[in-house]
Amino acid sequence: MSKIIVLKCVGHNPKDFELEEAVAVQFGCIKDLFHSDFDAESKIVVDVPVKFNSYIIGRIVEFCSSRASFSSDRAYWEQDFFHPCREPNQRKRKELIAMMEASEYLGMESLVELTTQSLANYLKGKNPLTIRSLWKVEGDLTAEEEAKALAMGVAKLGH
Amino acid sequence: MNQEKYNPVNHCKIIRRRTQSSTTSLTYVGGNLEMPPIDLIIEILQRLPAKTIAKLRCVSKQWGSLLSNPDFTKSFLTCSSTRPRLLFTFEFGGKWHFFSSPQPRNVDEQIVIADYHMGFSGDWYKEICQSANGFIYLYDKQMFKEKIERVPVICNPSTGQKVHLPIVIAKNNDLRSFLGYDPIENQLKVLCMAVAKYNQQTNSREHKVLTLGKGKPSWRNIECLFPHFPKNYKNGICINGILYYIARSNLNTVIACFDVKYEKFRFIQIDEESSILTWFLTLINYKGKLAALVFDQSLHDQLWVLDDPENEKWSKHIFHLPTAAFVVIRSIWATDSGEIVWAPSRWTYPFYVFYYNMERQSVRRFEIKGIEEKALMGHYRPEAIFTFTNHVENVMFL
Repeated sequence: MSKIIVLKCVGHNPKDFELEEAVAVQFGCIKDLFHSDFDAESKIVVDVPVKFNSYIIGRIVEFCSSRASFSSDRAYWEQDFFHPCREPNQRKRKELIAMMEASEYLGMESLVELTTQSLANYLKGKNPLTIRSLWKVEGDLTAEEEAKALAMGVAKLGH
Repeated sequence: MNQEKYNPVNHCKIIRRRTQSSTTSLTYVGGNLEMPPIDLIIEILQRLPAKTIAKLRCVSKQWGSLLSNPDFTKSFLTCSSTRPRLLFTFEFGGKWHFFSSPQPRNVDEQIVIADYHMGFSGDWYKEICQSANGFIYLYDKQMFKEKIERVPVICNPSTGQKVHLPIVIAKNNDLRSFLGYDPIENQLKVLCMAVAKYNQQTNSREHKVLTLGKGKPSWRNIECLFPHFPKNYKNGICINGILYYIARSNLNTVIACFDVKYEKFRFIQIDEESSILTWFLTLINYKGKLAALVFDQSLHDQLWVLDDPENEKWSKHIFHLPTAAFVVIRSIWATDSGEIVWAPSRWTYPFYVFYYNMERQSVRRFEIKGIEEKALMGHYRPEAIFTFTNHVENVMFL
């Protein structure tokens, strides 16, 4: 009888996710629990912090379930999984950022790598305005200071 | 920052280990609830090309200081070291130009596009330009006391920064310079020596070192008790804080090993027979070890790898350079996986870079596009192209 891990999401849209061992081991923070003294029959419930909503956790679980079920074409599938986030779609980008933060919290290194790489691909070649709108950063450089920062190298750099 | 939650009965602890943030001096950027933790921002930023990093300095003051923070530049360098690029440097029309491209990875990729980085006035001298840790050392021409002088310059194509260094004051003008990097102190140093003929032998004199990054750079004299003659037109290579270059001493070939941190010389002797029969073409970093490309009189090319530095034991491997024109190749390097890479030193169109696989003894070539179109435009032909593979993007400012 394999153990079952339950991810308990609270907040706006509470939901419980039951994970089989094959899926749960991909969560770095949960992996260790399989070596614990818990009775094989019991369900182990893990509380997820409220800032990670059930939709994001659901996407992560979906990612891990698919990963557990096949191994070939993984690179292609992973590209595809993140494809919606490559479009200029703000909601999808926010989802990608949320997945990145959640996977970091849950100790899933490979997913952190995939999400950060996807975001880096999106930011490549973009200008400061993109960062400012993505993370609501206020540009506080004067025109002079901005010119100085640019003169540090950008002006000499080709496009 | 650990977050522990213990729940009774069948509820569980999640222990989250944060390996990076406890040691970093960086703080939250922007005080903005929307912003992810700094560790993740760095994870994203370190995957960006240096050009994009340069633009992002304008986002805000805090971002500017984040991108200048040594923890970040170190992280960035570690990440960029895993994806080294090809850097093309050449001088023509009194200017130095820099292009870079990603390394061609798979067999299907025939053509690689090079991006233009920067250009500035310069002068090609018989010493070829040197590269270490993403920085390049070469020469510029400047007016100095009503005379045109050769001025050494350190530049970084990833940031566009260039620093003119003080002119070397030596008893004669025949100089040899090498660029070294000390990873322990994270310092770049230039080793320079004048060569002069004395008692019918040409040897190095007046050894000087310049350290970068610590206040105003100036040349200091250091001692070298072993007279040697650094060979013409040969570059140095820095591996793990030791700068190596080929030299002659009393008709024998020696390999100088200069410890960049302690500024001490040591020499690897090549036996007399080998010195006479072989010609050391260049030194390369072969899978982390010092290696030499050697041409012997029986017309074989060999790769000598210094497997045992303590006992100076080399292993020798046959290496077939397919073209007889190898004498004009000054840029030969090895990739992390042990492929030997070279590019011609004279401009050709189309311009190719060649990758040689030691095991299969096969060569593949890639065309580099973009240089002709963006810089040359059919008018000029550069004197020489110095191609550096394993160029790492370093966003650090000196």
